Amino acid sequence: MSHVRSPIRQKWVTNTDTYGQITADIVRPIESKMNLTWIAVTLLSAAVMLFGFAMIGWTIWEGIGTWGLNKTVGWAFDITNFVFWVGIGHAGTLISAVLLLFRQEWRNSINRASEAMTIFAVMCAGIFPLLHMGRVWLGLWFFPMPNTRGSLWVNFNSPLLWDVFAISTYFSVSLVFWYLGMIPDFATVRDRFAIQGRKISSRIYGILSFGWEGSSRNWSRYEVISLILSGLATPLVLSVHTIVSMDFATSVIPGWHTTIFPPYFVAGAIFSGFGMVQTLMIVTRKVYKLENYITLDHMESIAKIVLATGSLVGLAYMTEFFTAWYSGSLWERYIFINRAFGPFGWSYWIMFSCNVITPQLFWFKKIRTSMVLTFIISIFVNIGMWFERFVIIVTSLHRDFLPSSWSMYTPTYVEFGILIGSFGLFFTLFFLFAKYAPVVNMFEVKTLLKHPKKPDNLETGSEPVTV
Amino acid sequence: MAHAHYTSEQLTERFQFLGKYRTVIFGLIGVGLVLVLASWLLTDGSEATTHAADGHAAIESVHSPVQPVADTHGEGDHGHADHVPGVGTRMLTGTLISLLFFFTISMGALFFLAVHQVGNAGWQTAIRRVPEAMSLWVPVAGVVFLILLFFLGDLYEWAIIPEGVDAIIDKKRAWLNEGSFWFRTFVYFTIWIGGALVLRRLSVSQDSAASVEDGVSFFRKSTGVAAGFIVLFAFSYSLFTFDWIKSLEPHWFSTIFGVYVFAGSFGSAMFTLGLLLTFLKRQGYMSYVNDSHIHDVYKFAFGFTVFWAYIWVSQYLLIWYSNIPEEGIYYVKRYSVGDPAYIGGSFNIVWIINLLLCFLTPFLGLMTRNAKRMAKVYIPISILALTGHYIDIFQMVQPGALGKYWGFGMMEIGFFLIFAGLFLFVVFTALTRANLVPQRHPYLEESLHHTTGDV
Repeated sequence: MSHVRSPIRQKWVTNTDTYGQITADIVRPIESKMNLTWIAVTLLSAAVMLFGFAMIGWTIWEGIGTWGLNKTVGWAFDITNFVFWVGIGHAGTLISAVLLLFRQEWRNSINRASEAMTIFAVMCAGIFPLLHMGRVWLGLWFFPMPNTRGSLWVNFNSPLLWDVFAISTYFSVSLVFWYLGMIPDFATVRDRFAIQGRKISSRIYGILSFGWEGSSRNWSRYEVISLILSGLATPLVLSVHTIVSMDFATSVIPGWHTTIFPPYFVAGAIFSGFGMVQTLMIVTRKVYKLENYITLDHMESIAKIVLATGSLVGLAYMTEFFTAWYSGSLWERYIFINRAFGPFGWSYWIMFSCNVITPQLFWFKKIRTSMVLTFIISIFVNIGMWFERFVIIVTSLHRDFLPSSWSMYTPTYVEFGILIGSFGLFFTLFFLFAKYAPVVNMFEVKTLLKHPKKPDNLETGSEPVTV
Repeated sequence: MAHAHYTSEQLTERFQFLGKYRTVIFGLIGVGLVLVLASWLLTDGSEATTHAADGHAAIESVHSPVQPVADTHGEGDHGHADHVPGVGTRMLTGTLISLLFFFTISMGALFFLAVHQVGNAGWQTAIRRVPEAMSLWVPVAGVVFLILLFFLGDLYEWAIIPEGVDAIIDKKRAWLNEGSFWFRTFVYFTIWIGGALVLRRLSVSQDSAASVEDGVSFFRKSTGVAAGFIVLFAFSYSLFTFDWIKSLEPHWFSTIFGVYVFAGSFGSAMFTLGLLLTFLKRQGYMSYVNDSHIHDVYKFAFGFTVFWAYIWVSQYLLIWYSNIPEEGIYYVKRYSVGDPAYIGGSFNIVWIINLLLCFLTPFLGLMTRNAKRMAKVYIPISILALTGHYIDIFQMVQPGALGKYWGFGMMEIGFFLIFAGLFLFVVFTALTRANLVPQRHPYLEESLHHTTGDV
C-alpha cells in the first residue's frame, strides 16, 4: 500500500461523502419493510427448492435407479452438478483471500456477497455426492470413524475421500471467514435498531454480533484473525478444485487422466465463480441501488477476470486436444475426436463457445461497461461451465474401451428436478441473506471513501533499506 | 521519519558499467571457455576408452547413422539405446541447459512486466527497469537458439530416427519435424523479441515525455501491448516447452508441462530480480527502493515456489497414481535407483535435490516476513533456489538428451559460467541505457511511497 494514490486510479466509492451515507445505503434493505417483490421471488425459489427436495425424496425412497445412469455412464448429472457448484464457490474465496493478498481494493465491496455465494454453492454441491451414495443414511461412513465392523476404514488412497476432507475444510473455513466479516456490520445494524427503538431486532442482531463493541481490542483481534484466515483460505482456493479434478485425473480413463487437470480445474472454477458473481452483482446493485459502491469499474474488473480465466480455460482445452493427438495413443485420440464430433458433440461446442468465445467480447470496454450485455454473457458462462463438467464426465465414459459396452445417457426428470431444486436452494438462501445481512461489507468500503494523504510528519513506513 | 523526497540526481541516476564489473564478467566467460575446452579435450581421450570397453557400441557407432541418440524411452527396441553420445552432444546439452536457465529467467521477467502493466500494479514502478533489462536477454538467447537449430539431430532423437523405425514418433511427424520446428521457433521468438523490445521502447520513451500527464499515453499503449502479449505468451511459451524440452523424450507427453516450466521461470526471475536489486543497492544505486519493494519481490518468489511445488505434485502424483507405462517411464528413468535399463547411476539424487532446493529450501527459508526483507537470509536462499532451478532444467534435459551417459562436470560448469557472463553483460549494458527509475510514470509516486507496513 502506499499513502499516495495515482490520479489515474479509479474511485471505488462514488457520489458519497460521509460514512453515515454508506451505512444508510447498505442497511436500508434490512431496516425497510419486506417488499412484495422480495417475498414473491423468495417464495418462488423456495417452491423450486421444495420441488428439488421432493425429487431427492423420491431418489432416496426409490433408489438411484430413478436416474438415467447405466453401467457404462455411471457418473453423469449428479457429479456434473457437484463439480459445477463447488466451482461456483471459488470466486468468493479468491476475492476474500487472494485479492486481499494482491491489495485489490475493489474486492471490499463485493467480498461479502461473493463469500455468501461460496457458502450457499458449497451447500448445494454437498447434496450430490451424498445422494449418489444411494443409501444416504450411511453418509457418516464418509468419515474415518472407529467402528464395530472390524478394521473397516475409509479408503485413504481414494481421491473421493480426499474430496470429503477438502470440501468440508473449505466449507468450514469459508463459513467462519464470512461470518467473522459480518460481526462488525451486525453490530452496526444492532446499534441502528437500538436507536430506532426496535428492541427485538436489536437484540437478535446483538446476539449475531457476539457483543461486538468496536473497541480497539476488538479490532486488533479481528485484524489478526482475518489475516490468519485469509492465509488459510489462500491455499484452499487451489486445493479444493485440485482435489476435485483428481477424482477424474487419477483414473486411467482417456479424457479424464491428464496432468493439466488440477490447475485447469482451478482456473475453470474461478471463471465460473466470477460468472456467477457477475450475475448476482448486476441484479443486486440495481435492485438495492448500490451503484455507488459496486461501480461500473468494479464490474469491469470482474469482467477482466472472467476474460483472463476464460482464456486460460481455452488454452487448457486446446492443450488437451493437442496432447491427445501428440500422445499418439489410439484411445486418447479417439476420445477427443469423439468428444467434439461424436454423439455428444453438441455439448462440447456449447461448452467451447460459452467458455472460450463469448468471454472474448470482454476485450471491448463498451461491452464490459454494458450491464445488459455483461449479464447475458455471465449467463452464457454459467451454462458453459455446467456443460464443461458434463462434457468431461459423460463423453469420456459413454464410449467404453469395449464397443459392446458403448452406451448413451439420457437424464430423467428426477435428475433435472434435483438440478433445478439446487438452484432453488441457492437462490432461497441468497435472498434470505440479501434481506437480513448487509450485502456489502460496510466497514471495509468505508476505508475506501477517502484516500487522504497524511501530513509528512505523521507518515510511517519503510525507511530506504540498507543492504 | 519523512522520506520519499528524493533528489533529482537520485531519480535520474544511471548505472555505470565499471571496469571492475567488466573484469568479473569477462573472467566468468574466460574461465567458462577454459573449462569447456579442457573438458572437451579430456573427454575425447576418455571416450576412446569407453569405446574400447564397449566394443559393440564402437562398432555400431561406425555403421549407424543414428549415432548420438541416447535411450530416451526405456524400451531399447531400436538398437541405438547403448550408444555413447559424442562429446558434441554433451556440449550441446550443456549449452541447452545453461541457455534455458537464463532464458527462462528472462521470460519470467518479461511476463512480470506485462502482467504488472495490465494489472495496474503501482508498487513495482521504481524497480521495473531491472526486469526490463533482464527481458532484453530474450533476443540474445534467440540467437543461441538459432545456432542450436542447426544441431537438432544431436539433441533430439526424433530428428535423426528415420521414418519406419519408431511407430510412436512416426505418429507425431506432422509436429516433430525439422522444418516445422524451425518455423515455430522463429514464430515464438518473433513474438517474444517483439514484445520485449516494444515494451522496453514504450517505457524508455515515456521518460522523455513533457509531464506525467503526457506520460500516461505511453502507459496506456503499454497496457494494450502487454495484454496482447500475455495471450500470445501463454500459447507460445507452452508450445516452446513442448518443442525444446518435452520432445527430448518424444514418446512422453504431459499436458501440464508448459505450466511447470512457467512456474519455475517466474519464481526464478523473482529470485534473480531480488539479487540484482540488492547488488544495485549495495553499489549505491536505487536508494528509493526500500525493504517493502524487496519484500514484495520475495513474496512473489515465495508464492511461485509454492506454485511450482503444486504443479510438480500435480504432474507427479497423477502420473504415479494412474501408473500408465507411457507416462510413468518419465519418472522411472529419473528415480529408479541405479537401474541400468534406464538411466543408470544415481540420478535419483539429482531428482531429490531438485525438490529440496526448488521447494523446501525457499519455502521454509522465506516463510517469515523478516526473511523476505533481510539480505542475509534472502541472498543465500535465492542462490540455493536458483541452483535448484538449474537442477530442475538439468533433470528435464539430460535424461532425454544423454540417457544413461548423463553427467555433470567441468563442461556443464563451463557453459554455465559463459552464459552467466553473457547474461550479466546484457543486463548491465541494458541498465546503462536508461534511467534506473522510469520518469513521468503515473504510478511512480505510489511506488516511491510504497510500504507494506511497519516491521
